[in-house]
Amino acid sequence: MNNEDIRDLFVKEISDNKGVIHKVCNIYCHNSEEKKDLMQEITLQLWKSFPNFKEKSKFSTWMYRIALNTAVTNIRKSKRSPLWETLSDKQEEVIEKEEMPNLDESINKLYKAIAKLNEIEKGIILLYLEKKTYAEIGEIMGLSEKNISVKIVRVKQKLKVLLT
Amino acid sequence: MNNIEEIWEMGNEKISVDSSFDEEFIRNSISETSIGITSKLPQLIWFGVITSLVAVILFFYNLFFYLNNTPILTAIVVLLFISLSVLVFMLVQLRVINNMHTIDFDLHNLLKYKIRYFTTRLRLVRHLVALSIVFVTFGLNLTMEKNDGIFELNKILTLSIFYFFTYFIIMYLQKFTHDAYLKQLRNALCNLEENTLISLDKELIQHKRISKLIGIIITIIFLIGIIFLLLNTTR
Repeated sequence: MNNEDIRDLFVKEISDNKGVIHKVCNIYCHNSEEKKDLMQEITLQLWKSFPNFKEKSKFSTWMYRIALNTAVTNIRKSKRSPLWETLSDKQEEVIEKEEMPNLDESINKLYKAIAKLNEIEKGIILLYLEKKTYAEIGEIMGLSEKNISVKIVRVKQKLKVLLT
Repeated sequence: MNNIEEIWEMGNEKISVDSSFDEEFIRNSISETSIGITSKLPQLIWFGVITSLVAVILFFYNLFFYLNNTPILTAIVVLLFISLSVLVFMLVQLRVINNMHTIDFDLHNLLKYKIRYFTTRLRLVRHLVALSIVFVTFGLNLTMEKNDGIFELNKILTLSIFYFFTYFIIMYLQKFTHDAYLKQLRNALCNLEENTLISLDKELIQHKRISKLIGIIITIIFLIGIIFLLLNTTR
């Protein structure tokens, strides 16, 4: 397979699974500008990691792993910079998420509640809601299944409080 | 009220994937021009590469003008060698940092790896970037002050203070920027590890001590060298 074939294969695989990147960006970003930056960064990191993809895990699981690694550990380039974050660490001060048009109130409310979780909780709840198994979530996060199950219970409780 | 799983499912059905995220967007994101310029860290390393390269060029250029001035020539050769070493080190770090995400890490290990990198090697990078800027300043000084191979300086103290300030201001600016990002990583690791304090392992503490010691020794040698040089070349 030459470089161009690998590039075409990558573009096809990512296009088929672009929902993964879209969902990660949706919960980690507060506006379309941030979202575009993160989508680009995740795609680039996926491309760089593509030669290392081993088929022992599902392609979507591997994508979630790279996408979450990028979303959590990358330097924010927009208004929501790390400096800004350190100046206002309080959860209450999180920027209000832009409302997504044409969506039920309950869905917008859920997205806003998720936006108030910390970066790790966002990742865990996303994977849980996307019906990943505890083993898969543990593999992505680097935690044991038991630890994941405890964390999911806590995040769900927190979300319920935020939604009421 | 529906539970969160049901609401999420409803959302998945209604939220359409951003139309701008098409094949063209993917191809543009992975184009050669995108690689290496998207994150801020490589920008710092690129800055280090450029400043050390400029220092190398300046010292190499000045080498021929001070052939008959042994103290200056010795200093230029030493500084040229150090600048070349810094340049090679920066190029290696550029490669390391660009490939950081390609290492098959889970989030927990990636966070630990990045924190370790920031508190060890990137700290050294910051010192070297600041040092390179001082080298460039000194190289420019050599270029401008050359007078038939004689380096003339009248205000040694002012120049030494200037070098000192340049070094520490650059260090402070870098520290200010990176500490915020380091805090972001540490917070994420704390949240992942159930809000427990991160315990730096023995290896990391030892590495920090050694780096600090090397930094102090290099700074002292550099300052003694500069002062000695200035005292010997002042006419």
